[in-house]
Amino acid sequence: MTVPWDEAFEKILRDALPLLTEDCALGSDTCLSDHGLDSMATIDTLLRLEQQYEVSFPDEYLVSDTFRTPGSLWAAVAGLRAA
Amino acid sequence: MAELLHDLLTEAAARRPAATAVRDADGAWTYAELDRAADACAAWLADRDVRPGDRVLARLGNSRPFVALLFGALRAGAVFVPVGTAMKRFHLARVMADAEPSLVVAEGADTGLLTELGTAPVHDLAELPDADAAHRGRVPVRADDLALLMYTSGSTSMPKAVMTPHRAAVFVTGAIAERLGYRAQDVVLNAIPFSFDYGLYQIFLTVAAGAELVVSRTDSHVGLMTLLHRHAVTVFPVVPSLAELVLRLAARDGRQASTVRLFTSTGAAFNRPVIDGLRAAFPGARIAPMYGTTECKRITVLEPDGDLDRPHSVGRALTGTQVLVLDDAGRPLPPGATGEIAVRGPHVMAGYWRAPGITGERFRTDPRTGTVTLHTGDYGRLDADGHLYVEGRRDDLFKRRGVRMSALEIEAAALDVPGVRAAALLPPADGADMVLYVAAGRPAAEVLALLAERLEPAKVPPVCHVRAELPLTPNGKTDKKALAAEPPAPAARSAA
Repeated sequence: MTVPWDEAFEKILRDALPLLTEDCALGSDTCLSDHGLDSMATIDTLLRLEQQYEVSFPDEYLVSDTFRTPGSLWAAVAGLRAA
Repeated sequence: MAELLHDLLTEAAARRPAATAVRDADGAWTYAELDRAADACAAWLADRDVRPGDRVLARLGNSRPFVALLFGALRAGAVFVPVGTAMKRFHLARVMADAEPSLVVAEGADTGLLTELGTAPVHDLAELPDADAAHRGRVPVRADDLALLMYTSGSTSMPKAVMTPHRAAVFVTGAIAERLGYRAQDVVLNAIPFSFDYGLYQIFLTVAAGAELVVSRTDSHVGLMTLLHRHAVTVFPVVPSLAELVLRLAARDGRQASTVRLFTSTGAAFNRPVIDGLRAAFPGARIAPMYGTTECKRITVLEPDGDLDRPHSVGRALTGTQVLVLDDAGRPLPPGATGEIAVRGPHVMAGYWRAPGITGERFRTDPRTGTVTLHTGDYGRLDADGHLYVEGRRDDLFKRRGVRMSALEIEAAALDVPGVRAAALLPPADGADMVLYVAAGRPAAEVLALLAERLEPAKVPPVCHVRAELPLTPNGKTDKKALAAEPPAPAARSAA
């Protein structure tokens, strides 16, 4: 399966998902909170993504919808990088 | 003077009808609008045969309609039962059977689960009415009637409910307000679940002051700084884990959040770096550590910034109440001596719902005077001025991420996991997090994943060790001391 994101994104997300086993693939529609993305992990992920991609999430992106799935989160990152 | 919890709303709506009462991500209501929405809910409940004394169970995220339903249920004479959205089926089944609600309100797919777990009609939040000018849903309510059942974890393997009469809730709201001084101009940001008394009472405290409550869902913490700025928040109740999260957000934010004037904290000891961090990031804010238990809501409040003079104190007893430190025979100890913390006063609740045995153990009535003394199970000491210092517990109850839990409760859930033959939880100690040991025929990661289906996230241990057998003491109990003494070994982790 091909995914739109790069290895760094995959690693940052996997580090934040304690309930996702290694052999389980991360898909665009994987529900992040079901796999253990709690509020602290959400914020850690935000900080790591901002550092990795040298972007700053504006207020309107700091909502639970942005962090719902890898697809929604990658769309936010990709949009900010393109901006 | 209000005698009933919903009098607080009635009075605020008369005093400040056009002031903003409550705001969520979808919009805001003035006090007049909230008052009408509450009446609409009361009438809606009456139309669905909810009678005085019936339980209305609400399993909802923090939102404006929750506040309307709460006051509507109280006006209809019902007992309101807020249940956390994080609670899993394993406990929820027990709560549904125990509370025996006449009506349930939930959200989305959750309505199906609740329908399965009981016989009461389950309604979706979206069905709640918006407004209704008629007062026809209001019924006479007495101050000694029950207002709330607050489910709490603790010394039993399953949640149990603290019975909250109107009189006690109104008293304790006033006593907390006296200490913290919420004002009509305040904007209070509540990100604590309404299923916890700390979150729920933000509604009562805010309404009593005629102030504005900004409600944030617990899955939306990432947006807290946005809310702080956008709504010029002045009061921010936190637990230490939430404060840590806010500090990280504030550090990346860069904007001055100078409107916050007061942080309150409860639920666990506030460590020095977090307090110092809040002072640095929010220079205009004072900090009020507090201590309490659902069985009487709040026990002590330290005057804002009192920690500067009395580090680690959780403050003095609320006005009109008493905090005692007792020896093993139940006799009061002098200042400086450590013993069990006990509480007397009008805020002591009416015991546990349908649990006379454990009520008698915790809420002890003096046979001569009739005075009820609440035994908290916490240990601590008082100084000469009546400031309390909490030192910990001698049973296996503890708080993690602001949530009260017990080893017994987590072990019971672990034993419910197929393939687990024995379970022992070592509570957090000396700065180390809790650790689970199981005797099981399946990998630790699977045990943790299945445990996560049974317990809310805060109660899922970060680490699990699987053994063929757990060590036993000579009298056949799991030997936790032997487990604690084991050298660290590779283990499955459930949290980063």
